[in-house]
Amino acid sequence: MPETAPIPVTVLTGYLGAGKTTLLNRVLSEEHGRKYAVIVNEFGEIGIDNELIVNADEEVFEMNNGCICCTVRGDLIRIIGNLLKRKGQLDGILIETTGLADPAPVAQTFFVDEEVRAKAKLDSIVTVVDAKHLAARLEDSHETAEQIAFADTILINKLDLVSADELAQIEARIRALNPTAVIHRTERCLVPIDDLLDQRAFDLDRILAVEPNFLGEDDHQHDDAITSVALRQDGAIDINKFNAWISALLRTRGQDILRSKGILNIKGSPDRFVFQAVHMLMEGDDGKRWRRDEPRDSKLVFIGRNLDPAELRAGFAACLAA
Amino acid sequence: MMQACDNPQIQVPPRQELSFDAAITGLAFLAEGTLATGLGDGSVRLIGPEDSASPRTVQPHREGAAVLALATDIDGAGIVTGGDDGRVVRTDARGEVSVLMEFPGRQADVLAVSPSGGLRAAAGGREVRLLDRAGETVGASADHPSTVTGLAFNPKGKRLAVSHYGGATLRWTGKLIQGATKLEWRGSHIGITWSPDGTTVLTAMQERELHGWRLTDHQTMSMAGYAAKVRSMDWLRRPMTLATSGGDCVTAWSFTGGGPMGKPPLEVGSGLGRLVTCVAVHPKNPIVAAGFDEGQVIVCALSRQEKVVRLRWPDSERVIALAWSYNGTRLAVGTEAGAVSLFDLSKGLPA
Repeated sequence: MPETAPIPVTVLTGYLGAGKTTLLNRVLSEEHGRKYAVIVNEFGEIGIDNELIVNADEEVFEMNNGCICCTVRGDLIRIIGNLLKRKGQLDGILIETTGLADPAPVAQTFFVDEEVRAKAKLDSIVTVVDAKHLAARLEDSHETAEQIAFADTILINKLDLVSADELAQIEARIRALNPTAVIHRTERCLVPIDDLLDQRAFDLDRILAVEPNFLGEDDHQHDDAITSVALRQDGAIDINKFNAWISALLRTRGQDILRSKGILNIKGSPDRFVFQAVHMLMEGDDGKRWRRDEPRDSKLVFIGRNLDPAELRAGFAACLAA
Repeated sequence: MMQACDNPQIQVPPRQELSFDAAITGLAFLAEGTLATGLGDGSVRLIGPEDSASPRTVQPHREGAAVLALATDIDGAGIVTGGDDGRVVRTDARGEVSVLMEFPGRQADVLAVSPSGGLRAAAGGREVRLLDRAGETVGASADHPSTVTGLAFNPKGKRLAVSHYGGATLRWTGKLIQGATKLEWRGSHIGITWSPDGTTVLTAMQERELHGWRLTDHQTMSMAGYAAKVRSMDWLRRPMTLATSGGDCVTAWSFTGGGPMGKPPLEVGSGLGRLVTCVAVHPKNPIVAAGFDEGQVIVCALSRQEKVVRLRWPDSERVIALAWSYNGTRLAVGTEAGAVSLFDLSKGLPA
């Protein structure tokens, strides 16, 4: 088959009124020279009529695949399959979700369905938050904390409505929920489109870009009991031990672990091994080659509920190669 | 699945090759012999029986949209297409186009035509609409639990089966709203077919299996073990057999002698390719054509004494559609890369 690169898919989440529609309108109307299809939810407010817009109903289906938390967006499997029949390659697909949506089923769709997997790749989850109202939203909805926890990129929008102090507090709360996301501070979602789409966030090399916070061990008061645990390990990892440990961990604790990501130094491999998971579904692949002069270490991040840092650290340490 | 076929018969029938610059998404013959081809650019190409080297281009759908569903219309003199511009359109052999219905902002990817009932059905989102011969809407219902994924009429065109998440809904075409029968089975159902004797409704499932309901005695059936989702199903009338894609060969379920329950399927054309993507049963003989994901096309008898003729060799391009002409003398093949192969089999078939 003539192999073409999988089409990058960006998932856009955020509470009602945070600014998702503003962002979508920009993607659809700006002269950025690329072709993005936009899948909007049926209650969306896109004021543009455009052949690149498709309406969807957020149909979340349970899969009978033995994975107890495995839900997918059945409508997306169909809509994306249809979009890929069009002549001419799309530069990307952007999926809007409703304010109350759990991002997991959207992300899981790209792991579970083989036909979608073969042609499209989850690029990143972008979450828009409203600087002024984030604190209140975190109080009254658990969805807001989950959307932040799942994100690869977070837009703190409506910056003009908060002071520098308030912003610092907001960022601290976001970091406590998600230590690895890239944060953009915006007004009216004004961030270059290139900084949001086609980021290959799921390739994970970008985790290194937020290194300073990566290893932050913190004791914040956490929102809705979502916490994060970041681990670092010197020495090479035994891939078989790691696979056995992470598979068992996600199989038994995958409902609580929303996201996990890692970059590993595998014994006997010249390349970084990058891995990421959404709940129980994971994928791993070879990443960038280690440079000769570079210190090699392994890093793992877990975001979720009821995480026990000591248990995770001990489990990870036991994966060291003999 | 089964043992490889030792020596497929090699036959080189007269053939014609055409190539288009968008994916082939659907194929159907008209009664007079014209081949209608739906493309990923929203166009339909009409390939006449006498002048097949110079197809005519018609644009029933918006440029840039894709034709997503295609079927021969009630009269056999035109086709009905659904597109991702939300339109459902009739195109006749002369290239005249008339829009039958529109689902704004939706993809019209599901339709069915019943020549015996004189009806066309199409769906966009959760809504199903029914049109008569004249193009008048005679019924509509949006009472489905999810997006409609498949439509199938019963043989007389009196009933319509609608697949969706959680099962299927059977409706009477005379009064679409009242008296719907729910057929429930947990999971995502992605396509539907009605047996030619009217007794059984079967769905293809996201979970790579078929599920069936026998309407006469409420017995249900599950056929699992597929390597991929079943995207293509077609019936042999006698002995009643359902041929399906989704395996490394044609998987055919016999509905005679108490089957398919408790009986293994007939597997024909194994050892020749990786994945069957498309099947089409010959209109007159117990023969099936099968296309593979690597471009091969075979024709074989639906029997234990399988005879296999390989018509098309692998070219790494997935076969998307197959269609037999009305009299069964020509077979059309369409691929994801935009190739159409047209075989003249009037001088020989393998059975």
